[in-house]
Amino acid sequence: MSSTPRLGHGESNGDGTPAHPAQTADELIAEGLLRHLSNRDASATEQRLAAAMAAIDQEKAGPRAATPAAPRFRTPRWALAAAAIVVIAGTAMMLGIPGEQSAMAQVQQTLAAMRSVGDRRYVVQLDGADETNGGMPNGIIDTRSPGLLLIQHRPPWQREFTTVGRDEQGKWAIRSDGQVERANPNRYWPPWVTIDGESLFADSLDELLESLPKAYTLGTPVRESLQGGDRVYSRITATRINTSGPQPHVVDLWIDPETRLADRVEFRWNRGPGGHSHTEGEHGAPREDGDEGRFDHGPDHNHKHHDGPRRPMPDHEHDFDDHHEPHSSPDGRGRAPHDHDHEHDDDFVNMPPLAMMQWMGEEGVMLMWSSKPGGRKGGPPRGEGRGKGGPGLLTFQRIPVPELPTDWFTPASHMPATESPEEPGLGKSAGNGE
Amino acid sequence: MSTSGDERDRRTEFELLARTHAEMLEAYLRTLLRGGNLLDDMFQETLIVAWRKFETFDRTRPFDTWLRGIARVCLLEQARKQRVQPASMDPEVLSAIDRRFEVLSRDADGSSFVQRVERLVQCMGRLPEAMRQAVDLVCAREIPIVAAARSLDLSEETLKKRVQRGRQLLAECIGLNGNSEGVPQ
Repeated sequence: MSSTPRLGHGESNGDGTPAHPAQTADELIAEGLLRHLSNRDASATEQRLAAAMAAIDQEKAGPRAATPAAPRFRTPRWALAAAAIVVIAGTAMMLGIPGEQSAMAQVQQTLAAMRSVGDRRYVVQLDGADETNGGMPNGIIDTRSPGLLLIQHRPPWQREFTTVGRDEQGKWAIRSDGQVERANPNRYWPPWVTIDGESLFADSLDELLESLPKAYTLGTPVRESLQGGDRVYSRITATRINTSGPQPHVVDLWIDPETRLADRVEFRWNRGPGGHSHTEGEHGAPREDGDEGRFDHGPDHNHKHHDGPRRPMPDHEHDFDDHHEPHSSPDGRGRAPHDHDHEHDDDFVNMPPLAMMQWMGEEGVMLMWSSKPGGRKGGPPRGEGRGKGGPGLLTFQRIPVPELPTDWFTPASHMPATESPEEPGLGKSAGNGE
Repeated sequence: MSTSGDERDRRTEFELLARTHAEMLEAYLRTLLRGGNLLDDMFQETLIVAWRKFETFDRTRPFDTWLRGIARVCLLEQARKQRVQPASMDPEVLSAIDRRFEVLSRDADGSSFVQRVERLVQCMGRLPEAMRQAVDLVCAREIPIVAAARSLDLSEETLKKRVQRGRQLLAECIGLNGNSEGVPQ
């Protein structure tokens, strides 16, 4: 017999009075439909239907029919189900077991789609980064299979973006003097791609996603829209089996059912065992929004081995210099090195990141990465990773990408511009603010 | 020959109707079953019984209503034999569920059952995050209360109340009682 426990429905109204049958019915239906949406699978429905029709045909053919049409569903099904439940019960506490296979299939399809789709662009938001970014993205990633990568990121305490990448020859970076660094490019790479010396995604975002089936328990896919949007995604939550090491404890994927691409990826780190997250405030006080979120606590940075991205440290070459670059706006927020004009939207491809954000409209970008379910407009949730602590959440949001030039992932495409700053023609390394 | 042809037509008609309402039947059974492990069995049992009685089906009446009636009888029969555990045995609750499925199946704005149910996705997105997480874990993912409470760092009682409230808001949101958009924006 099925024994999955379900929460009582409308058993009381909290004051001891029994709930009205209508209320109980409402709750049962809401839950039933939710479970239906979570487990909905057209092929499974078709299979059920086919099995039922086969059983009907078999029944019509009479008891002497040669082969049972659908033995799985008919003869010993109660006994088989009971046996299956015994097996399942042992692992019932693990997240996502019922939908594991479906989730696995979806992740595999996503990986295949990512390899074949061509160029992709993600904006990166790191909760817990310093406040000086003014809510701007921490980076923009362009990626092309296999393994080509371009990251335009804003180092901590810097107003300008640095460009790093990987091409066929390996990693590179554009130094602040405008030269290409291939010997030791790691120092220019954003801190959030390397944690305690281990690479979060050594070659690409895809590489970490490829590790999901092996290193993570995949939860049941849930149909879910991002706040503020109508598109319904298949959200898969992957929980790491072994939580030692720096990799995120939880990875959430929002997969577009049409393109099979992960339009949003979230890396989360749980609170350390018994410890208070630094994200809770100076003295472990409850977060100001009182939300007891389950995954939104940053790593314990007092621990010797940090979990999650380490807090970015200032580069000694440009420590704490509060440069007032000509490209910074008076209100302290960066703006495009080239005073980008909306008439030049065709030059999107070559826009430096800040210009691109300006082109998109800052609010548009903000909405994009705050549009997680329950998220707030205008930045990460209150109290979540802000201030002193390291990030508990690293978000990658896919955005449209124009056709990138063939050499986009080579440093030559991103050398400092020598032309007039009024012309937003070529991408430009923003340097390190020196 | 004509008998055989009639039989084929009848079977074709039945399969077409069953296919049209298959998703509704799944959702209905998921609502009535405590746990979804026996969904396959109940789905098949319902259709087999429906086929046996198909000759008596009044074609002037909605097939889905008729099918739900059969599903309900099958479920109660299996419950009597202690083979399944229904979410409720209360006749009033079961009748109320049937009435609500009628509402879902025949929405005034012309949307289909599937479209109506899919609104729930948007409704979930509008729930406060803490409530959405609770409902997601307990209802959608069927994580046991104890484990879900631990995961959310909540007491079981708090989690139960949060889930209960979430379910009520979702029911309002999809307009089970003729109301709609009940979840605060």
